[in-house]
Amino acid sequence: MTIVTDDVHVVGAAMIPMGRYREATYPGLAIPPVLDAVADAGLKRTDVETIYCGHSYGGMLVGQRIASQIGLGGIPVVNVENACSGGATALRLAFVAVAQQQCSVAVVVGVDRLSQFGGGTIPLVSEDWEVSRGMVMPALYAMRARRYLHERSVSIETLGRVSVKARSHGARNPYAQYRSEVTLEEVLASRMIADPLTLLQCCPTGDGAAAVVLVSDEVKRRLGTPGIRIRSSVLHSGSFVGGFRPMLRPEITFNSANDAYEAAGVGPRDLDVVELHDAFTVAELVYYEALQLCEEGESAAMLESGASTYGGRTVVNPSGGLLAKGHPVGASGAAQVVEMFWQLTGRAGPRQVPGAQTGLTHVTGGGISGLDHGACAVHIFERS
Amino acid sequence: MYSYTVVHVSATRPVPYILGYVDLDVGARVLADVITPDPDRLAPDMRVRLVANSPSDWAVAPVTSGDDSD
Repeated sequence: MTIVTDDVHVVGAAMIPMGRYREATYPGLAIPPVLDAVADAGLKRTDVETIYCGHSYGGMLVGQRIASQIGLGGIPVVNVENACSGGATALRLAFVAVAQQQCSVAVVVGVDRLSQFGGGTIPLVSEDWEVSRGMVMPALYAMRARRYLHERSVSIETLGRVSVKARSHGARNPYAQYRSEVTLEEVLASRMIADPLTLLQCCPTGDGAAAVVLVSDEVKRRLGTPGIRIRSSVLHSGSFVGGFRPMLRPEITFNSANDAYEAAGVGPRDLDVVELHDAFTVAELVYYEALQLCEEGESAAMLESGASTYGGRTVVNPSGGLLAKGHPVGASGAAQVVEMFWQLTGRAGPRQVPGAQTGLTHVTGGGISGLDHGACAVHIFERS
Repeated sequence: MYSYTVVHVSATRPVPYILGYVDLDVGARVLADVITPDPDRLAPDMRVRLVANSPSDWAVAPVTSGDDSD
């Protein structure tokens, strides 16, 4: 289902710096960005008509625990679990609600606290067959990385340079979990997680929360504040394949991106800034191709040429991406939109992409047997 | 064997262990434990064969020159 409308805008955004907040509660993490995003939009708390809350590990009624503590009882609150796409799926639901005139002011919040697990790989679904055989997310991406090195005939250094770029971007982002640069040598010498992926090629486990405010055209005009228009909002689920599946061509991202480009009337070459799902280094390269930022087989060359960093054609992950900014699962989709809002309204400070007008956010994820990934959400925005 | 990895950090099993995606000749893909004394010699697209792994479990191992050509 594709909804084509130009009538939904993001007019406020906020997040907390990602990191480890071991003593925090879910509402404790999420309430500050929710209040800040509403204030940023120039709205009052009582203007909020509905809340969509993305999370994976917060237990029951996270959204209601947030809303009730800030005097927002009574309104519809929906909790969304969609693995790494939870925050973006909440955005998609809020977009649909505003586009279909069910409401004119909706808040999207994404939050997760992975520090509750103490570190290591995130818990997956234990009843899944592959998980029961020892599948963990780094292993899945490591097999993709091994295949990438094999098919593309590139060296491990190419993978490592993805982290070097991510950390150089994250060093300019006060909201990033990692705010220091790293060398290629440090990336490759860090301890092995799942061969060939070393620690610094994996996103950190951490905590975070991010919120954005969506409004109708009419409310946007009344507020008179800067905002970004949602040109398309696409959500796909994975298709079961029992046999051969090319891991370098993730069909769920290809298809989601194609739908998003078509609905927006925008092509990959029109994008000034992209926030994509770089949970592990190889993912960034594979998604350059799947989002058609380059031709198939050209992702290593795109990275090495500098086309995906400052001064290049499309700045990919100016926030530092999941590798540097961090990846509290359900928060990431919302945090990407916060970054996009700041970039497209000229508020990204030292990491501002000059003159950015059009951008795309992409999250996917979830490790279950027979699926490339469980869910994928792609959104395209432009300055409005 | 389409691809493989030596897993060094896991939430569910003692490490290290080796996982691989194996495309069977009949068309199915399975996630398998890979058993080898020499992980450095594993490579994508190498042929593997089914082997017993403890009394009730199975795994795959690289086909060596001494094996039957199955």
